[in-house]
Amino acid sequence: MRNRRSAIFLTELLAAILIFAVAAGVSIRIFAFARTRADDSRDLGRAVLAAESAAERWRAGDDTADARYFDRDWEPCAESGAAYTLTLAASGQTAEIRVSGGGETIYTLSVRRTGGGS
Amino acid sequence: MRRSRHGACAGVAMVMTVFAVLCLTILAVLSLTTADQEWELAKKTAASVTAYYAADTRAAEIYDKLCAGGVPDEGTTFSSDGGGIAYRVPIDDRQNLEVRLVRDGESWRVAAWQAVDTGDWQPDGNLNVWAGPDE
Repeated sequence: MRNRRSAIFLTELLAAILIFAVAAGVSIRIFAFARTRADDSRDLGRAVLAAESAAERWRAGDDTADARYFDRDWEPCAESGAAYTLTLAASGQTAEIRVSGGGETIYTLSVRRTGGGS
Repeated sequence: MRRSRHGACAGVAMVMTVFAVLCLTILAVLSLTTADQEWELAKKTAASVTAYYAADTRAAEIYDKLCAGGVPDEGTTFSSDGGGIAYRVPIDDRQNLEVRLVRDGESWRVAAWQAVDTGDWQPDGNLNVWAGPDE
């Protein structure tokens, strides 16, 4: 009788562990996907802000930098420690701003500055 | 649930597992929903900035053309009064970039360069506030 009860308890425990393992596996995948999505959102938001900032500087006549570098926290840094790169390719009165990270382009922005008048 | 001689209840493990799985599932779905909403917001922000700068580029082209003595293109809404000229370039279906120029010698000077909301909205003029106790 005692052995039978122990066997039932053990079977239930094993089933519970199996169910929990499957659910935990699925949940971890969902959490990982959500984390990736959140990181992508943050990168896109910061890339847009960086591109806007570079665009306004260039339109105001600041031609000093063709490239800017950011670390993993989107703080300006040297090229050696850069995780994200902003490049500005100017051609006459137009410029193409590209923000990339991890080998992929995150955001691009085309801008034009006025030539005549004030 | 039957209590065994060791004090363990048959079914307790399963109940606790179901509870834990339920909590995990709810947390996972909530985090996924939040991340998806953040992603959608970031995409909309990026699209709106891209649309603004596309309109801005178009407006700058028109301005340069006017400064070079050219004539305004068709398809752009122009109006002129006195010594000034104004035109608008659509940013999206709810916003226009409105530019107002005034004559400055042989060239044009920018008097206004701003995004203007064109969408319809119904302001609610009524505010039901408490008017004090009834006399």
